[in-house]
Amino acid sequence: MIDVYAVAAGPRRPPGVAGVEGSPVELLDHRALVVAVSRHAAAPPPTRAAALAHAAVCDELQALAEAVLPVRFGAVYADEPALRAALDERHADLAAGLDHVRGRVEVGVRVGWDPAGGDGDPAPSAPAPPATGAGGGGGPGRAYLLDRAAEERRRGARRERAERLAAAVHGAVAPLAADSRHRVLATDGLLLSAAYLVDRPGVDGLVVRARAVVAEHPGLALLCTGPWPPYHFAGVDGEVPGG
Amino acid sequence: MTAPERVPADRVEGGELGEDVALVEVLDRVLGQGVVLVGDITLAVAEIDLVRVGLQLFVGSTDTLPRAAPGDGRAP
Repeated sequence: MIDVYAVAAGPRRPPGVAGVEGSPVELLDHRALVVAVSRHAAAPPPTRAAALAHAAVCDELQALAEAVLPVRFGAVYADEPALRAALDERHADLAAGLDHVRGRVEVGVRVGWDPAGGDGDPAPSAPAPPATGAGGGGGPGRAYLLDRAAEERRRGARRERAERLAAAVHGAVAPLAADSRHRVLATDGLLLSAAYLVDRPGVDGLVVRARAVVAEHPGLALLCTGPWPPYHFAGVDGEVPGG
Repeated sequence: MTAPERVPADRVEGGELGEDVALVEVLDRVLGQGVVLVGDITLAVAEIDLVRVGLQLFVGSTDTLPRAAPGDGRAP
């Protein structure tokens, strides 16, 4: 079995770290691509340790190669011909993907927030008093419906506020990046989850910009991570496995 | 060897990255992102559990994140 770590351009030597289950990582040439793989007697079990070993190999390749497209953890091929067939099928996409990420790294940005407000924004945090007394003659059915309506309004206001705050942060940071992926989560802890593809020398500038815009909104918390191999920029547009 | 500057914890803005958060950041990427090739035998067994557990850890940990950039001095 062959476990695949990444497709790359230009690494001159295999990564200096062991792969999944401690196996040595080797580089296979396939047309214009270089593929980092390890060989196994059987498909390695998908453990947390294996996933982390996979990540460590991709990290190391990022330092050794001109361009790296990390392959999602868990891709195992029966043999080399099966792997090469899969690479042939995606060759154009992979070559284009490598060009896109060449000389660039990914920076992760997560922004935490307080959904109840706290930055002076109008946010209905206190639940409305029971509506049974209001207007009289309501009854439990009416109270229930009023509660539902109020809850819906709170949800809408929260979503609107989340979109606005997220747009402020993303809008400030995105112009510094070559590409980006972002999701407005608006969960209890997390407002925004984003990844930015940036030229290597641009990492610090992007982090500084993120810090500045978050500081303009008290109540937001910033978590920048990286530089990462461009995991978020290795997929093909329109391909979203599992929905 | 892996150079320390590429360990995510070193790039955390304004504080230490908890081990749980570092793990989530890695797993979120290796399990949820990256090139998907066809014809492979996907090892999907533990995937969903790992990510779900991880994301819960992350949400829990945001409460302890710094509320402003270091040296900002602004009261939250």
